[in-house]
Amino acid sequence: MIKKTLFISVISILLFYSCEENFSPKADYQRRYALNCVINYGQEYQIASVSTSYDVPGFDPYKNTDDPFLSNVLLRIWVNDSVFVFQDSVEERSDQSRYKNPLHFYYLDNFEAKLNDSIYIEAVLPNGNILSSRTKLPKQISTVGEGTDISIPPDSSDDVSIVRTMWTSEDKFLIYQPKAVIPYQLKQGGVTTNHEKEVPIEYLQLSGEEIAVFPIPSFAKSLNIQMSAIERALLDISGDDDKRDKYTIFPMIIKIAVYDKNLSDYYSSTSRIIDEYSVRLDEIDFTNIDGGFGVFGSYSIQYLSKPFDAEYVRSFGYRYLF
Amino acid sequence: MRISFLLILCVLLSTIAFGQESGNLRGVVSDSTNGEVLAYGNVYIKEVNRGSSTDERGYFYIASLPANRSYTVIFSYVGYLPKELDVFIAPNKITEVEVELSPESVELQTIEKIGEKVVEQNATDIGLERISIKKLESLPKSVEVDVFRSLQSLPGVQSTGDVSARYYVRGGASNQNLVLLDGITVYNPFHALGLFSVIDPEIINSVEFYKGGFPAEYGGRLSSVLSIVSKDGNKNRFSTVASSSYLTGKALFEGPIPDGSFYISGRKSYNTKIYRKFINKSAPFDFYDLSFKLNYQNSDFIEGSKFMINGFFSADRMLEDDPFKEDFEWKNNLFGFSWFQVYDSPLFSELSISVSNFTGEVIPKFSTARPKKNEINDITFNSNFTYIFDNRDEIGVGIEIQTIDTKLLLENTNGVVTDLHTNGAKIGLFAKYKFLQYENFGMDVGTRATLAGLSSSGSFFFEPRISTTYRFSPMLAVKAAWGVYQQEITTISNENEVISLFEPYIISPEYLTPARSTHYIFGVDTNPLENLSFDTEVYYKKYDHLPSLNENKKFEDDPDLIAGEGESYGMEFMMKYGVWILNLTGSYSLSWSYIEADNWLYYPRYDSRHTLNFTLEVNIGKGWTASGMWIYNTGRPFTPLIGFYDKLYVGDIHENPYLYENYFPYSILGDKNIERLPDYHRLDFNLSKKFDFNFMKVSLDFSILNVYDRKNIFYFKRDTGERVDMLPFLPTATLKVEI
Repeated sequence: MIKKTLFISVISILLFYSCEENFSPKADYQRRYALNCVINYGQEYQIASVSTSYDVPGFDPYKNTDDPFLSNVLLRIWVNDSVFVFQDSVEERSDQSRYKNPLHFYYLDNFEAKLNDSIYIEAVLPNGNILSSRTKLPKQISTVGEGTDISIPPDSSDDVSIVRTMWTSEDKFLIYQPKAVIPYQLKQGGVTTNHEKEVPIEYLQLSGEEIAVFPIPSFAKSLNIQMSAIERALLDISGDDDKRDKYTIFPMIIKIAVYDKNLSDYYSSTSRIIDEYSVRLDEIDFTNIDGGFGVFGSYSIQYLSKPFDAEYVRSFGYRYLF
Repeated sequence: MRISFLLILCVLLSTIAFGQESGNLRGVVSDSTNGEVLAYGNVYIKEVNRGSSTDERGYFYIASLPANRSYTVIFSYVGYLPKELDVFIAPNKITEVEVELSPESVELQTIEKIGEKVVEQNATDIGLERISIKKLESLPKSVEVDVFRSLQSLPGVQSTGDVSARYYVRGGASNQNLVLLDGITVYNPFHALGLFSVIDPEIINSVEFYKGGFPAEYGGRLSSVLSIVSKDGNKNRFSTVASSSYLTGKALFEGPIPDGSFYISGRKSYNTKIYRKFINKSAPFDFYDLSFKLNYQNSDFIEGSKFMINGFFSADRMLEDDPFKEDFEWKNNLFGFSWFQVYDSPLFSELSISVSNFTGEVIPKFSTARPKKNEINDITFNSNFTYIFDNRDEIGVGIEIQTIDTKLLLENTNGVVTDLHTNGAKIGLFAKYKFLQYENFGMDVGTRATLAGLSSSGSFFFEPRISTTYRFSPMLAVKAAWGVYQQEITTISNENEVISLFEPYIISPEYLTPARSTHYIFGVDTNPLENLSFDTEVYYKKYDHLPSLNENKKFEDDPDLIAGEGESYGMEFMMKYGVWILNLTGSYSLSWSYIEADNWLYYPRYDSRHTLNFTLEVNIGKGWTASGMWIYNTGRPFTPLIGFYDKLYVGDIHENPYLYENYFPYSILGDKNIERLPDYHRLDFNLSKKFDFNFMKVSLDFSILNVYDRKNIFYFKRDTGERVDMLPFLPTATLKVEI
C-alpha cells in the first residue's frame, strides 16, 4: 500500500511538472513610430507614410483593426536648397480584411532630384515627436565591356549559350534588381499595340515540372541569361499564332533597379534569412530613421539595351526593328 | 613580470634537496586485453604511503624512494582488477615497470580506486574534471554517447538549450572553449547544426576538462579547455567494434602492427528523422567522421620514444535538388604527428606538428539565404619538456609556433557584407614549475609569453598563472587558482544564434585589443567518508576587450566586432557518494554573468541563476546497469515583445514602384534579455545490458530523454509569439558489438 501510494505520488508530481507553464513573451506595451519613404528616382510623384505601433491581446497582430497610419504629420524633404512639403491624402485599400478605412499616406507631385543627390526627410508628428533620416540617390551604373555580350546571340568564343551583362558602380554593396524584357509590337486589324515579354534567366526542372527562374534582387552586378530561355521567350511571344510577321521585335531591354545603400540594407534585412535552419533570436530591426522604425531610401531604374542579330529574330518569322 | 617569474623559479629551485641513496620508479599502466594505456589511473606504494597518477599517456613517475629495498606497489583503475607488484628500487636509478590491468568481468564491476586520497593529496587540480569513457557510457544518451552533452551535466557548464551540444563555461561564450583532439585544435566540433559533437566517443581514451584556472601549457582561449586523447589501438590482436544507434552506424577496426598499433574508425549518419525531435522540422543533414591513429614504439630505433600519426576528418552536407533552397557544406580536417620521448633521466619531451583546417559554406542558389563562407587553416608546431626533480618538483618549458589563416565572407542581418582575409603567426613560450615536494602542499606556477601574436596588439603579452592546493587533513583540502588568459581568435556570432550551422572564426581584428580574462578560483574539497566527497568552488572571472558582434554594422567600413567587457561569478558544489552498487552525484551551481557591450549591460542567454543536477547510477549486476539524471535550472534570459508595427516590405520594384500597401505586422522587442523564461527541468533514464560471449561482447543500451515529457521552452517565434519547445519524450536505443 505504501509502495503504491509512493508510486502514485511520484507519477502525479511528474505529470504536474510536465504540464506546460503559462508563459507570455510580452512585456508592457511601449509606443513607437515608423516613417517610410522610398524615393523613385526620375518621378515627380513620391509617397511616404507615418504610422504608430500597436498592441493586441495575445500574439496575433492581425487582430489589430485600428488603422495605425497617422494623419496631420508635417512631412518635408530637403534636396540641396529646395524644400518639398508632402500633401496629406488617402487611397482605398485593395485588401480591407484588416483595416476598413482608406490608407492614409503623404505625397509629392513636384519632386526633383539628380542621381547622387543627398536628401533629408523630417516628419513632425502631431504630438511633437520628430522622425528624420538622410539618404543619397544611387549613382549612374555603366556596363563593363569585357563581361558583356553586345548582341544576341552572343558571338563570344567562350560560351555562346549564355548572354552576359555586367555593370559597375562606384557604390559598393548595393542591391540590384535586373529585369530583362523583349519589347514587341503586334499589328492586328490595322491596330498596333505595344507589349513586353519578360525573359527568365533559365528554365529548371523541378519534380518533373519546368520552372522559369527570374532574377532576384542581389548584390550581383551581372546578369546571365541562357540563350535557351531567350529562345523560349521569343517563341512564347507568338504562342500558337502562326502569323508571326504580325510581330515586330525590338532589342532586349535590361531594366536594372539600383537600390541606394539604405534601401539595399533594408531590403536585405527584411527579405533575406540567415538560412533555413539557423535560429537567431533578437535580430536587429534595421532602420535608418532617427527616432523610430522604417526606412528612408531610394532607387533608380536604369536601362541597358541589347540588340538581337536581325537574322536570328527573322529565323523565328518575326520582323525586327532596332 | 618576466624578472619576477625568474626570481620565483630561482627561489623554488634553491629549495630542492637531492636525496642520497634513493631511487625512482617510472612506468606505464595499460589494459591487459588490448594494451590501451590507462590514463589517470592510480599508483600507490603501500610502505611509504605515497603515490602518483598516470598521465594521459598512461605514464607515471615516483621520485626519491629510499633505495635498496622492495616495495609493494598497487595499481588500480576504475573497472579493473587492482594489481600488486613487488618492485625493487635500485639506488640512483630509474626502475621501469610496465603493468597491465585486467578489466573486471561484467558481473562484478565494482568501482575501486586504491590510494586515491594519497595520490591526490597535493594535486593542483582545481577547476579540472576528468571524465572516463565508462562514465560517459553509463549516463543517459541523447541518441548516442556525446562528450559535449555530458559536459553540460557538470556544475558551471551551461547550454542555451538541449537542442545544441554547444556549451558555455562559467559565464564564457562558446567560442572561448578550446577543444583539442590529441593536442590539435578542432574549430567547429559539431555535426548537424550543433546537435552532436564530431568526436565519436568510440575513439576516446581519456578526457580532461578544465573549467578555469588551466595551467600554462594551454592557451589561446579565455574560458575552458577540453583535451581529448584518442586511443592507441589494440596492441595485442585485431578487433572490431560495430555499433548502431537511431542516428548513425559506425565501426572501429584496430590491431597491432610491428612495434606499434593502429585504429581506424568511421561513423556515418543514416537517419535524419531524429532531427525533427530536436529542431521541430525535418533537416536532411548527412554527415560522417573518419579518424585514424598509428603508433610506433621501437627501442632499437630510438629508445624510450613513441611516435604517433593521427588524422581526423568530418564533414556535414545538405545538398538540395531544389534550386530555391540553399546548400550547406562544412568540414574539419585534422592531421598530426607527434614524438613523445622518455629519457634516461627523469625527463620527458614531446614534439608535435599539426594541421587543422575548417571550411564551411552556405550556398544560397536562388533562395533568400544569405551567403556565408569561412575557412580556417591552422598549422601548429609544439615542443615541450618536463623534468622531474628527485624531490618530486617538476619543471616544464615549451614553445608553440602557430600560423593561422582565416577567410570569411558573410552578410549580416542588416545586409552588410563582410569579406575578410586575415592571417597571422604566433610565437609563444610557456614555463611552469610544479612545487610538489611537500606531502600536503602543491603549487603550479607558470606563465605563457606571447612573443609574436596573431594580431600585432597580442604580442609581448604575459599570462601568469598559479594553482595551489593545501591539504589540512586527509578529509579536507583547500585549493586556489589565479590566471590571466588571452584569446586572439574569435567568431562573428553570438549566443543569440541558438541554432547555427557553424561559428565563423577570424583572427581578432587589428582595431581591437585581443580579449583577455582573469580567473580567480577558490575551492574546498572534503571527504568525510571513504566514499563520500564534497567539492566546492567559488570563482570570479573578469573579461576585458571582449569582442561582441556589432549588430549595428550598417556600412562595410563599420567594424564587425566591438569591444565589450564582462564578468561572471558564482559558486559550484558537487557531492559524490558511492555505496554498494550505487553511485550518486549531485551538483548545484549559483552563478551570475554579465556582458557590457555598446553601452548596454545585459545577461547573456546562457546565464542561469540556479542549476541542479542529480545522477544516480546503479550497477544491478550480471551486466545490467541503470542510471537516471535530473537536471534543473532557473529560466534563461530572453527579450520580450513590447508591441507591433506595420513594417514596409520592398517587393518587386519593377511591378510595384510605389509600395502603397506592402505593409505587414512586425514585432518590436524590448530591452535585451530583460525577462526570464520559465524554469527548465528534465529527467533522463538509461538501462544497459552487456553480454559477454566467448568470441564477442554485445552491449544493448536503452535511453529515455525527458521521461515526464516536460515542455521546456526553447524560444518563441518573434512573428507569431508561438513557443518552440526543446526535446520531448524521446526513447532511443543503441546496439554495440565488439569482436
